[in-house]
Amino acid sequence: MKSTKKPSVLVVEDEHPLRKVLSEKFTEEGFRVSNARNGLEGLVKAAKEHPDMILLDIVMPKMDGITMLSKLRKTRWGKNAEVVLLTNLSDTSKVAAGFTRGVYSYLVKSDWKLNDVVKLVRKKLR
Amino acid sequence: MLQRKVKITHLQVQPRANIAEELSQLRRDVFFYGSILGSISMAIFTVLQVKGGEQTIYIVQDIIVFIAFVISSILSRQLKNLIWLMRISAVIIMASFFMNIISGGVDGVGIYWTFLFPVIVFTFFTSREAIVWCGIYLAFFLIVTVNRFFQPFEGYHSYTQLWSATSVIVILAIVSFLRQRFIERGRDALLATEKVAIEKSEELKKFKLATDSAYDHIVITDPDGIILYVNEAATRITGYTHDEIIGTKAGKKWSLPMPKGFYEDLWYTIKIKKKVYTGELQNRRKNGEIYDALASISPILDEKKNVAYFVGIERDITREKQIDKAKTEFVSLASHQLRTPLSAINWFTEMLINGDAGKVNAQQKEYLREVYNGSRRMVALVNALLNVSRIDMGTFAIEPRPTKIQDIATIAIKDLKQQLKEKHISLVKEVSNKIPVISLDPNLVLIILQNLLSNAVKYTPNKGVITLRIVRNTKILVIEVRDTGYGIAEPDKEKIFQKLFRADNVRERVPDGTGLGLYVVKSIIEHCGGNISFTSKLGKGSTFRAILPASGMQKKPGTKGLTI
Repeated sequence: MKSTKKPSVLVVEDEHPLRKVLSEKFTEEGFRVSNARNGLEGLVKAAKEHPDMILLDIVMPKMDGITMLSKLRKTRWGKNAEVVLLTNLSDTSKVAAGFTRGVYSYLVKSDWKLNDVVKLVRKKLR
Repeated sequence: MLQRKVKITHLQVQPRANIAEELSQLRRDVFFYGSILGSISMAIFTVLQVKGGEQTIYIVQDIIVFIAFVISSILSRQLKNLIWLMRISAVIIMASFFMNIISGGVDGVGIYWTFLFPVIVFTFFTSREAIVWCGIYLAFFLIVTVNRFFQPFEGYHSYTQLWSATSVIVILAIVSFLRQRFIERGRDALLATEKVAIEKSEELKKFKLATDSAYDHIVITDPDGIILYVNEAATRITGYTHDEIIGTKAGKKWSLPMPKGFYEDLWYTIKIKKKVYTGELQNRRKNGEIYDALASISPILDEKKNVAYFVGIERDITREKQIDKAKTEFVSLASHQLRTPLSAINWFTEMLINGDAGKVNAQQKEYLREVYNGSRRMVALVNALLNVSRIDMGTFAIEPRPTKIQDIATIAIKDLKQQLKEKHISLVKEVSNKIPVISLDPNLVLIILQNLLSNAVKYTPNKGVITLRIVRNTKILVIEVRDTGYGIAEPDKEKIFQKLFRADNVRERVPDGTGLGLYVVKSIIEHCGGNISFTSKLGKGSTFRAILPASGMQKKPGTKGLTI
């Protein structure tokens, strides 16, 4: 979108350590990173910042990832926003719900190396 | 007819008819068959007489006797107390006989009466009465004959009469003897069954006491599955009374529909193979409540190896199941919860190792690697536990799609490259190229292959050889993994597929096994309609052989796929 600038990532994750590690890694890798603690915050930040990629956790308080995704898809900007689902559930029905709403990919956090997460995002944004 | 089956109801022998009644039944049978014989004889004689142009009065007499026999034979099946009917019939027929002699003189004692007389006596009288009647007959015969001697007579008649008298006595003697034997044998048989029945009833009382105090539901059925007996626990568990259950087909009242082929399999096992069947099933109590039962059904064979009874024992395992389910759900929940902190540990450690938080020296890096590997192992364990809990909850899905198993094998082998290299183990691939694309869940096949292969690598010392063989014929798809490893000790063989079991001979050598791999593999294969077996020799190696249907896997919906 904004090729001249640093690529931007929005991390929507309720678990503090994970939010932190993702933010720091992506910052380290040269991304502009912002955080949200739940779906509601995520929606607000996404609408304001129009990030190139949203890393979206599924299970969160206040508003879960799938609900946030549905609402996001109803906004003009959010229709085509890039989303990768982060999950610790390998619950295929929830992931399937994500895919019907056009997510780029999904990954099970505990099974993925952090470097591979970065590679996945880079690959999409290149 | 003589030996009635001893029926078991509520495990008490039915109140038996007493011997006198049984004997009267025996006489009734004699009466019936005798009457039939009499009516047939009379019918033949009547026809012969009509043809011979006999006088009308004789023919009428014959017809009356015939009708008397017919009525007797019918009444013998209808009336309860025959004793007087028997006497009256006999008197009518005998009166007709004597009338015959009186009216026709001694000529009336024709051949047919000679035959008929023993039939009547045999049919209607006890042996003692028969002797009295024979005495009357002989006296009558003598009077008439002697009387005849004093009158002018024709030689023809006297010969006929002598012949008649002699044959009557001979036939009578034979008939009396046979009748006596017949009745006696019948009575002996009755007494014998009675004795057996009494003995059985004593045994059964003990049996009833024992089974009624049992906690499990016990049902005894005949070879067709009709219930002859239920114990108290069965009425308590199902909620039906004895009377509602006895005589119905086993399980008809309480069984819920089971998956296709379940009952066929059950009947095949107990009726054709005559083996004990054990399995879990779902039942419904009279009040509609559903419960889980663990059933074992055994065929009881007679001397000729035919099924005489089935004994079904069922235990209500609803509570055990609930506990098991709660445990499984707990494991599932806990595993999910474990994944989040594990992810954090992994990722932070990864960053440290990468130097993202500043340079680390070689020793620090080595320690961090240990932390990282430990954490990865935890993730693997959590994944395995989750798979087990999904298998136990029955929630995992089978999602087959056209798959080339050779490709899956290549992926599985690639994952192992590092380990194979480290241990200098060579892998021989004997995967047939001719296997076409078949319907398989690639994820599940990969889990099967990864587990079998990684076990082979784990449990084979350095420089060993592992062979992966995959072949398919018209019926089956065979996946075989052979190694030259530590092998499985004889006593461990039966436990090798148990959840969390680890054999003693490898516990120290290979500390990082979870004891879940083979359990998961076996469960997947069995869910997919296949089976797994192995051969192994301690110190020589093991061969695991998984068999799937040649057509592949059938779709099974579920909430979760399994994690690799």
